[in-house]
Amino acid sequence: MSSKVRLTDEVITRRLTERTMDLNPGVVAGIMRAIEGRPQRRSRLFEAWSPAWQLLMLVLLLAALAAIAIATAPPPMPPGLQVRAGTPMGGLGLSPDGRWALPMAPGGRHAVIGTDPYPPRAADGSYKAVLTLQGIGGGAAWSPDSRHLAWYGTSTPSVVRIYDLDQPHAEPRTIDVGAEVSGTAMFTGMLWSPDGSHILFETTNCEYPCVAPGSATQLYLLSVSTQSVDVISRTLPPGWANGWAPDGKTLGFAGGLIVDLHGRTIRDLLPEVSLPASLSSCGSPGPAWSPDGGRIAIIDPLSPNSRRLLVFEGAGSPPAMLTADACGIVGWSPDGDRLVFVTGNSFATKWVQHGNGGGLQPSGNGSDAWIISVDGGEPQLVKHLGWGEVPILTWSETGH
Amino acid sequence: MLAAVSSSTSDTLVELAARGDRLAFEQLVEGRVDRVFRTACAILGNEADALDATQEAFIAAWVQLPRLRDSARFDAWLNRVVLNGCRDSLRRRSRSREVDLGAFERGTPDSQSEVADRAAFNAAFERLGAADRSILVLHHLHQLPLAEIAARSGVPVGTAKSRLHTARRALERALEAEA
Repeated sequence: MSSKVRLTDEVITRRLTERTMDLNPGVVAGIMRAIEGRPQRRSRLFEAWSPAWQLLMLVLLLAALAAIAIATAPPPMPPGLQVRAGTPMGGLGLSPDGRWALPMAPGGRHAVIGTDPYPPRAADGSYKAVLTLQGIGGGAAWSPDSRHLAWYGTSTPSVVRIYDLDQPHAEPRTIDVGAEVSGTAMFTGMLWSPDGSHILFETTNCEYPCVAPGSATQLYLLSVSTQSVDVISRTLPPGWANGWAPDGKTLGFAGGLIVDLHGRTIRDLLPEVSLPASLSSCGSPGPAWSPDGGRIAIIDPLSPNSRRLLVFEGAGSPPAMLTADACGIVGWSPDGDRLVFVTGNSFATKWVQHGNGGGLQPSGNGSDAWIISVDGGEPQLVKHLGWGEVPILTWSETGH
Repeated sequence: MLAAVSSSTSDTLVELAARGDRLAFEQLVEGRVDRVFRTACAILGNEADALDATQEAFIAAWVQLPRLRDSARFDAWLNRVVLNGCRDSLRRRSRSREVDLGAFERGTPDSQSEVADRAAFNAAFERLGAADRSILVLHHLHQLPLAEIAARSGVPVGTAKSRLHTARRALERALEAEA
């Protein structure tokens, strides 16, 4: 067993000194010969500058970067209005591999829906949730207050699921509407009522886009609180319920048909357009009611080359055409005096479903968001949107 | 000799050498080579390795000298170059396990116990890592105060003190093992 060793400073110094030896006097000459022909490494350019020069160059570089940023900045937006590029494809944005869907909340918040329990991610971190769609489900629709998300699944088409974002860890609520829906029908869309109390859902007995003669759209109204389902109509021509008047009493279809909650036609904004009207290739074609319900904006889908943005004011009055090059309606200003719309072939056409079912793939160059006064004037560009990006519209409280 | 060279003269030599003046660099080498070699000898315990480390340190110093911003820091910088060279040499040696035991037994004849003690110390020292060897050499061979060791290493004095204590304990434990 070894004993404890304690070394004194003197011992260590002496022993280390003993390890050294005298230097051969020729060593210096050897070193000088060794460096012969060895180039020295000069400082890099920046290091060679004096600190004052370095600071000056840094300031100049920052100034140049700022100038580039200013030169390439988008045009200024009107005060109060923000149009931000949002998640691809509002309602149901699938990742290219088809495993993720990213519904977009009207308020610009995001949630995550995935077909697999991947680590949940939320764009703004406000909530995190992974919801399982039944197969590649669809019709995802946000409640007006952005607190609930409703959707249906293709594997259980008669079940409507409602997810409460205030309870992110709770299972989605399920409402089986199968008893009210004809067996061969399939869901084609859902729309929340303005007050969030009801969900309108559509079914059809042919696959979208449904152009089969004699086919029809069935409209149902689901009460979120009582889970009761009322039939609005089983005989409407194929279309797409796309807008709900602020008073909650009338519905609008792409193509201009306005009906009440009993399925009765109230008005046909575009009588020359025969249903089924195709959806706009870049977002909602309307009809979109102004906040006070007094005006209705719609994109006339009569011709792909003439996508007129029309605004109807009173019943029977002719529409005002704001532009002939609108592609989708983003929304009204709170005062109902201005409209934000997009041009170009935007998000919807940027997603191409491949025949092998491998998911959606983006393509294209994006579009532009504009704002225009309903009373006339030139539209003002507010933002360029990249491919697959959906505008998220927010206004200041005063609407300015 | 080093002490005889005023710091301003030394700084001038460093600046001249950094601009490629070989005569100035030769004066710098002459003033420091003995100390560098002794450092390498103490750490490596092998004359041939110490000579190699010394030469490599000065070659590296010559090549890199233009990048030294503060000429007053030349000695501390050279010290780091030397210690890094010794560390590399130890690393290479650990793969070949070559030890020049003869180098430890120079000098006048000693008693058997003295020879045994020295051999035990050297064997124990060979068990230490480069960092432990370096700090023991700087403090006990070159008598550098802890504050200067800390400054050269870029660490707080407390850290240098702790490292020295750790190195010393490691040496004592190695000696116990040798015993």
